[in-house]
Amino acid sequence: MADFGDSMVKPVKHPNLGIVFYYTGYIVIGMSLFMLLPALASALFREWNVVLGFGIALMSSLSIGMSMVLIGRNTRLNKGKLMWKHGFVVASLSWFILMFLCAIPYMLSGHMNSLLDATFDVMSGFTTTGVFLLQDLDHVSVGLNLWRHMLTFIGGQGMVVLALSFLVREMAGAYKFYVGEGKDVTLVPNVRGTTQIIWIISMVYLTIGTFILFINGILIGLNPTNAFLHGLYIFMAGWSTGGFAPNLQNIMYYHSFSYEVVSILFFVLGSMNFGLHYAIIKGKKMEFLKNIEMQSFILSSFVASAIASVALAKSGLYTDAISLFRRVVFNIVSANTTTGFGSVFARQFILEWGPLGMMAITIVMLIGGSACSTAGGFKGLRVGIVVKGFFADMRKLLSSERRVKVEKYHHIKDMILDDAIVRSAGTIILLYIVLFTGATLLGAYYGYPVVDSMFEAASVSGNVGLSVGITATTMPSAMKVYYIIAMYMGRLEFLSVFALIGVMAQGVKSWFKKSSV
Amino acid sequence: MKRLKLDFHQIFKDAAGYTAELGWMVLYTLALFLLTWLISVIPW
Amino acid sequence: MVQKIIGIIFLFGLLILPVNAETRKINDLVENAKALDYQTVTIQAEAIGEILERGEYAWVNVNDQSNAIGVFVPIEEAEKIKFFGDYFHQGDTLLITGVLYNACKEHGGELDIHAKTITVVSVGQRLDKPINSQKTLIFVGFAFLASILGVYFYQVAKPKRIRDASNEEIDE
Repeated sequence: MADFGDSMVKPVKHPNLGIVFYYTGYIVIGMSLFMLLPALASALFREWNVVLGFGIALMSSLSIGMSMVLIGRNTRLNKGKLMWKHGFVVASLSWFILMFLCAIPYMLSGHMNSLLDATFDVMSGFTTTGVFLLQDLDHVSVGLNLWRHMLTFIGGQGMVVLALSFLVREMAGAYKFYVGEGKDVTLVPNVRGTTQIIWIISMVYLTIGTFILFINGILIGLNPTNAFLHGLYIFMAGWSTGGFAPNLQNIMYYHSFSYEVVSILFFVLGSMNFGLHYAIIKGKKMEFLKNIEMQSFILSSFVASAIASVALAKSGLYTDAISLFRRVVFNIVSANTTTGFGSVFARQFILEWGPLGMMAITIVMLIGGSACSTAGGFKGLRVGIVVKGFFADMRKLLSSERRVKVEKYHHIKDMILDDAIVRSAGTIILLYIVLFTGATLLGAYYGYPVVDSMFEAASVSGNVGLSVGITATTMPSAMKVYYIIAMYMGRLEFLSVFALIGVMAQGVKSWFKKSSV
Repeated sequence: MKRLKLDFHQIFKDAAGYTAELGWMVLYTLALFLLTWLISVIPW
Repeated sequence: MVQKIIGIIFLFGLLILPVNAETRKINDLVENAKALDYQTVTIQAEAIGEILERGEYAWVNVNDQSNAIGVFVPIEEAEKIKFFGDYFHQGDTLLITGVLYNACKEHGGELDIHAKTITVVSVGQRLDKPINSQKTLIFVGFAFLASILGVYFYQVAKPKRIRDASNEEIDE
């Protein structure tokens, strides 16, 4: 960095605040610009009031974003001092502010009963959960429906990831922002390159997926416009493992086995780690089977599917392979990948699945998908690590003490299974369990049956999106708030949110200290 | 814009890779269906 | 005496008649799907989306504000429907009497209704969506604010771009 004399450097009063505001501001601006797409779509369909709604949201969000950058502009001179806490706080703060800004179009649509409901839906979108409080989904505008699905598509990749991919040149400290949003895999040695590759892969599949679903849509009787729009929506919701759908019936709207199968292909694909995508695309085809997360996922999805299928076959409700596959296996895999597309009515889980089936689906919701993907839950990687760690410990105990074996696991490349890794995996799993337990207890407190509560809690903590009916606009506000926090923490994997709370607490503490002096 | 042209080239070169991924998905789904079919034929 | 007997037989007849003339809510059907499996039920709901043709039959998706469900009907019946619910339309209100299946074997286990006929109780309509003047005003206001901020932002946040061309890179 060149020296440009003291006269040009303004003393920065609150450097941390400045840094955070500067970068958060840019992320807010970036996300706001996306509002142009639904605005354009609405204009195309002549939904003028919706165009105005997005216009208002765009202009106000841009104003806020620009103001934030302006407040923090002196930070440009201090960019080298970017610390981990800045990365985490920027990620969680952007998500928090955008939760309100992206709710503006929802509020202006008339489909929401309250601001709380609107922010709930936005957070559900960002975190690719998929539960929603929006009313009258079957009469929603094209603009708003596009927006809902876009929120999961962008949120799945990550708003920070999106912003980083637009960097003009590699930025020192970019990795700290990247990790702040819950990712850590680097496909190429620089973050900018990595985030761009993530977006390229997503856009390639967006094109392929929308096209396949479009053709499928035409074949099942959708008119061309809807075949395209629904193809786009379902792809975005599937790939992002969000689980939103353009109609209330979710995937049942289509009454189509082929549509369901195609969606499985894309949502399982979407639940995969981007590092794995990159490896396979670049030629290492067998990585799919070597990877610890895929092994964990294949095992959990097969075992849970088997258990649930047996349970439902025994009950006599579904006796043929196709019904079992469409109504049981589809939902298990949807749950395991934390997608949340549902091929049965919400209440059917409670009324028909029985204790065995419910246990199978609840557990796979908690296990979740792969790390560094759009999926939620503990993550297959952690479960794999903890399980392997357990067996490694057993081996150590039982073998002769002279042998020192280095335990390994394969995740893109061979990695050493050391105590620190097992402990950190275990800690995060524990945090998820605490989050999940809290949600269950809260539901029970408000009078919901425990089994129902557990299902909904797992769904929300793991960013799944299947519901047994608890999530509704009539739900107690305290539960809505808890669920928002659970979805947020679950997606950002705790650290960023803790960092944000920590920094805010520090700020409050120092403010108190100042005023008491 | 220049960057975009290069990307298209790269994407087509990677076509085999994308196909491989989709192939794995189809295999996974077929295997799952086979499992389901096996369960459906057993008289519980 | 004879009148009394006829009266009793008549009342008895009323009792054994299918009581399903009562219109139910879709949510009730889902909630009681097991009990109502293979039973004839009646619902009154709005047609939404579009019909999905399946040869000589078609799917009509309907929503009665409690929930939404798919109704499988002969295609001629589906073609009776004029309006389907979406952003711009209130769909036709349909009275449907059909058989409820908890896990329809024909449709891969779907919870659906198979109806032989549907009755259009009231025709839907195109909804008027006049441009909201309040929203227009608010939009103009924020656009103005954003423009002013934008000018300032461009001057303050972007000058290094301009300097790039003429000077060497000082910052970054």
